[in-house]
Amino acid sequence: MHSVEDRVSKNMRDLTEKNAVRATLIISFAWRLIYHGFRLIRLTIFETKSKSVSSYFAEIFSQLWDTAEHSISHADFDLPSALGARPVHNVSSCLKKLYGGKYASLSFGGSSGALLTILTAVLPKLKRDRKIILFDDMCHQSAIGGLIFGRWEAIRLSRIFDPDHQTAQPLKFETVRETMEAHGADRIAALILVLPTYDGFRSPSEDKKIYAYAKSKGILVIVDGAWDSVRFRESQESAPPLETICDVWVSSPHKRGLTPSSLGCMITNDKIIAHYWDQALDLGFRSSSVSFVEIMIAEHRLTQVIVGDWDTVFSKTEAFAESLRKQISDIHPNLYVVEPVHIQAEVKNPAHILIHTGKIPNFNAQKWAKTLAAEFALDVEKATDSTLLLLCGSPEHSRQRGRIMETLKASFEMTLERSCKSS
Amino acid sequence: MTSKSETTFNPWEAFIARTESIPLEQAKGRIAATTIRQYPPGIPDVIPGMKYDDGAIMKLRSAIAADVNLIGINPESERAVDVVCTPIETGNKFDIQTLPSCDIPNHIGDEIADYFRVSFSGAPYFHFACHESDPLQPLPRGLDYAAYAVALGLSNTEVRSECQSTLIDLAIRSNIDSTELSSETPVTLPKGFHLWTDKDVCRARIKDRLSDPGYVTLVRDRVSNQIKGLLHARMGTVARLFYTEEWSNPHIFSTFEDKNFRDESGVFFEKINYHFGLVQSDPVMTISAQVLDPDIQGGEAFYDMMRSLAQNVSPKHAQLPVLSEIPAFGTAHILNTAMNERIVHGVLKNGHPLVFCRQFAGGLFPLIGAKKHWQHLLRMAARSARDYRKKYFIPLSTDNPNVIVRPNGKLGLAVYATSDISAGETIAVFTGETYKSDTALGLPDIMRDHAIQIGKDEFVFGYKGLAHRVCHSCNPNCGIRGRTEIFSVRNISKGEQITWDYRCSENSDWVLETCLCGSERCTGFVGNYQSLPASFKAEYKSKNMISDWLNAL
Repeated sequence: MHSVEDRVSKNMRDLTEKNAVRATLIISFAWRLIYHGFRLIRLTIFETKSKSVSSYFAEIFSQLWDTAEHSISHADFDLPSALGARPVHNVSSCLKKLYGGKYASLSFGGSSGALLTILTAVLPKLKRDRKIILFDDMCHQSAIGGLIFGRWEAIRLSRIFDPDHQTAQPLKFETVRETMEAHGADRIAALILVLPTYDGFRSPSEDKKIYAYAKSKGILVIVDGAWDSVRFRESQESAPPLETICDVWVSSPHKRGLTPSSLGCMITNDKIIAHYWDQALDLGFRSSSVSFVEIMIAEHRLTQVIVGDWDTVFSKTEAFAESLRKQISDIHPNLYVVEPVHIQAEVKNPAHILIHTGKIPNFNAQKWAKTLAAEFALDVEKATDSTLLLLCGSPEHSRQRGRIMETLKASFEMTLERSCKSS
Repeated sequence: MTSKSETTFNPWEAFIARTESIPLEQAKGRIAATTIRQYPPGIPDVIPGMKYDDGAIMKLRSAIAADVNLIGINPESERAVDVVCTPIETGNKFDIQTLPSCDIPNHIGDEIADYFRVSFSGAPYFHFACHESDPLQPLPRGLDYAAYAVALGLSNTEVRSECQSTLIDLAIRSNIDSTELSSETPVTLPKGFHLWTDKDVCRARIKDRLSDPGYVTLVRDRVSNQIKGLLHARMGTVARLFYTEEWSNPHIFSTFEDKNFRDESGVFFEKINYHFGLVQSDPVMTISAQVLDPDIQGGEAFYDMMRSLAQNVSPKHAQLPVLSEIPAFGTAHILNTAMNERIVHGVLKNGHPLVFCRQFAGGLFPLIGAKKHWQHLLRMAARSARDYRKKYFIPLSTDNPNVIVRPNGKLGLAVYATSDISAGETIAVFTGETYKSDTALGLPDIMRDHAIQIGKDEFVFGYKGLAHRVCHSCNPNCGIRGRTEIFSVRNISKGEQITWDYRCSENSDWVLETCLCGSERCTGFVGNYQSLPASFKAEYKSKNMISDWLNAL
């Protein structure tokens, strides 16, 4: 297996040989980096309180990015798509390798952009004779936008909400089947599922049954896997192959640092969907002036993941999440992490830590979250009255391991103290 | 919405529907128009098209109590949510949409023009033909075609005669088969003439109007997507509107002479300035309403059109005055009522009043009272209307200071003495423009009931002062002195109603079939002077109660 550097540099070499990246520009870029870098260091050391440091940093960042953007010739890149095969589609190959599936494409505007593309431009063409879409009530607002702008009739699939743990249980196959039968399966164009939920739970066996049934009725299953972008790290039991749970899968690889944050992805085995997807991208769902720098970054990172260079990072992150999960009760004996068994789910996402605070009288987790953000500059993903959701998916988290635990403890005590006073 | 919600709903319809902001506590049972969500995670608790239930309201209320940052709740009022104004019904037949004129694409402009073409091809417009030398000016009723033909160089008498008969024939046919007349109608027109209903001519004309800043409210059939009605509000200077609307045609503000004000624009502008205080360069709004579908005429859909227009008008346009030809009958009377701030002074050739409204906001905007950002405009409009009435509706100096106008059930408004009035005192004087007509019935409705005959074919439209508010009685306490002055013929006590016998000046074919005066000697109807019983005539003459012009007969 080639190393990442070998592969990426081969691409770069190919491009350079075709004069896509001019040598003078590379030298110019390097010179700016060195010159401004030294100046920035000098400012940082000797003029720490000066506003000029941040403004100078912004300026150099802007200049370097600008140089990078405009030093690339787009002549041989082609625009990203699901069916294309030219150099830029190396990134599509990476996605296919990581997630499985015959066709893959970057999407623009994250998984939100992918959902909008599917619901407003692909699905109406694919299911001309059907008007209804069933949607998971855990759907992101972009899915709702897709329902609105695609002018679909909609039916909300309500999950059972666990009031104690303030989270939704996984959807049951029976619920979905009953709803489909009640409204006439032949009228339903698609089903949108969120797997896993925002809190990180799912039941793969139910998901497989749902897909098998929907497929038998000609209903397309779209899975919003925004939080499932490292599913390749999980076993087939906890993250079954995509072809067993859906027709179209969209995700946000940037949530785990795999791509720049503006990019998402779409995976499918259906060539017609891939074809319609490409048509939609051509009609404005992807700018024809895409940032090729971002795509190169995505390609580089995805290639690193494929060749295994990120394995260590992933392992460290997961280990950190696991250790944090075990230490939560150290913060307070009545705190615990919500496990799948609590809410009748089968598995959980390793990076999601849903802390339950409901056993502590007068303690509001939303206030804890506010304290964390305001006093300790640590943003959590979500909070309800009695839960706090931490995500430990980024390599940065494992690097800050000690700080996070201390911060959680200190902020908890501060919030608890305030709660006692106010009560 | 936390419970099972398995009914089908249409988020798009709710998203584009008319909305209003209401307190969260009042939202139960209403249909949500926007999403409400926390971010992160961006999973909406409320989705357009879903009905608010107790669960949803409770969930939002607790989130507000916990100081959670909710997106989608009206920032002006933390607890205000946007809901669809009326429930969306499956049977709703029409889609209503208001577009700024500048956003109207070419193909929709054609569609609008074609709709106007069908609407205009029949009575009462009579816009059946035009000449290519002046395609935007349709030939009006009453125009001398022969003279027009001469002007066009058709010197041959036979050709002129043929030209005239063809056009008259076409006029008749256009009235009979109004909506069927189209550019395909096999009509041979004289050289140089075109059907006004010619598609290209009509499109050019309408697109010219659409090029002005303004708005078009379209009603479309939801199934066929065809236009079923429209409102067109546009901004222009008084001069621009004069030349592009039909106001330059005969009879507007006229003395009922057949003349085209296009050649006497100075007279028109002088009258506009006199009546409305506007000069040629003043910007004003004007509105056209065209509705052919009977389901919309006079129905709720027409109010919806007006609401839609009102919701989309910019504050800048909302503050402009409205000057518009709006019939006082049919569906448009709704618009007329909304816009008409004062008695109308002008009547077009087709009998349509030219209405005036001090501010656009004052006419349409009460329809959208729930929109808080318009509230200040409504207040301004109300204040402006009050000031305006104060300015224009105060009694004239010739009005007797000891009388007052107040409602009198069956008679409508009537004039009463507020203190004792001696015999011979002036009560009021008919003041206004003089119109010529062979008969009172030839006057438009709006004038007829407020006019006094002052000669064989002359009438004064007495819209100022109290004179036109004095009721008829077969046993009056007032008469006519000179030709326009109402005076007391005996002492009138405080609280007594002031009346005069309309037959003291009227001698045309005007008849009020049922007299409501209720006096002991009531003749049962009110006709003209000739119809007066001999005893009445003798009494009125002896008391000098008869108009001078009748005495001179």
